[in-house]
Amino acid sequence: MDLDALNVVGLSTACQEQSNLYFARQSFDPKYCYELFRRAIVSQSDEAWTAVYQQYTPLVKSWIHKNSLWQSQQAAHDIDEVVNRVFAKMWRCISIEKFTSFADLASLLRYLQMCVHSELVDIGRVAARHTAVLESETLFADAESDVPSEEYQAHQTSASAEQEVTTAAQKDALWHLVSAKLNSDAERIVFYETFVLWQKPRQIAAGHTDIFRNTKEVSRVKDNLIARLRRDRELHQSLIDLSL
Amino acid sequence: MLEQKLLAQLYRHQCPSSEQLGEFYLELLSETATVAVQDHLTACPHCQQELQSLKRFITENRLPYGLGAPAEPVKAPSVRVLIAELISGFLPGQAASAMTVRGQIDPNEGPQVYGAEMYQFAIEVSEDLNSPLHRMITGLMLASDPEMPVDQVQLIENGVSLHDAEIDEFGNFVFSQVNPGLYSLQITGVGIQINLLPIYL
Repeated sequence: MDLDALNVVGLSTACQEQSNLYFARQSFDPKYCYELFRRAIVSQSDEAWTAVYQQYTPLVKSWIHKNSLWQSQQAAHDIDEVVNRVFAKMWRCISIEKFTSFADLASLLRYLQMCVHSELVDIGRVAARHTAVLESETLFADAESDVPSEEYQAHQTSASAEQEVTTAAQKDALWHLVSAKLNSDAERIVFYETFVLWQKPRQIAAGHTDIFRNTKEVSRVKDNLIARLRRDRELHQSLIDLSL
Repeated sequence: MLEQKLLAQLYRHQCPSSEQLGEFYLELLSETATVAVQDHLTACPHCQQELQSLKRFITENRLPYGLGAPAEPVKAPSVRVLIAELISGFLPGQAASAMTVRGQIDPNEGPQVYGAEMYQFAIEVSEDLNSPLHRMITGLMLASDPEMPVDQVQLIENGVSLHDAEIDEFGNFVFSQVNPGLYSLQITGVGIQINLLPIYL
């Protein structure tokens, strides 16, 4: 059958028939489903995209259920919403030019499968960051608070600790600002692994036995560093300037 | 507090996005981006873990045979089909219950052993402790043909595959949260398919 002669409804029907054969482990022809993806992405046909969505939603849902990350997320998230975000991610990530990298239906479905995992990872990253910040409230609560400026203290009361930085450039600026204030490899490691990776002193010590003799030494470097950063008026002012 | 603000803003700020990590695994990134992700992976336990879980997810849910060539219809490979029958479902000297005789597995009865040629599987049905209204099917492959290994199990109801499971390296597989009903199990490997007689749960 000539693919060009088929409209989206015809393609969608053929794709569904062939998919049923495929899942019944019989001979099948993947060209209809591939063409449906091609029209959705390259020809930017909304109708074709809707057909792709309808055809592959059950498969995407089954993948979500089988993903181990979903076990801890399903209570707090609506699966239909996650399915929507998976398709949206695929739509966003595969440009017309990039479509040429996908030679067959298998590669497209593998990408869709990757998007399922990616979406669940995104949910996990947000939750992990939230957990890290909550943990840090307890961990840092006992630390001595050294003279932050009044202006900064006033700013603090109106800003949430979890407030999002609006741009990656702001994060980079903050990173470079603090990096310039680190005086040794030990401080650089402790800062990076504490604030970027959220590793505990025990984990940091275990990963850098050439730098730290034990966990206590990591904690000492960390406490001194935090105390110094707290006293740093330039850092406080910069945080205000960056609206953090 | 300053520390929390730093943590909230800098936590994993240098990590590649989850899509970049996925495209790295699928080898879709440019050479420069691939090197950058590789470098990052050497120092980031979080991304290492996410990459591992992606590999596991794609491997465990690999698309079945032959999904590939866009131009030519795919021929299904020839598959040998066996029917596994009930060999034993009770301890020596113990009479089979009426439920066993009519193909129904009593959740309290213990494993039933099914066999076909060199393949043998013990299937046990129990109450699903995490979900009281459901059943759990636990399987163990007791013997197989080393020339034709099997590694996948599908739980089928009315001809439709509801769930699938991997047979692990020790021969185990599990289906949980199964509604009571009539099911069959289909165990497959490359070129081999073993159908277990339908069972009532």
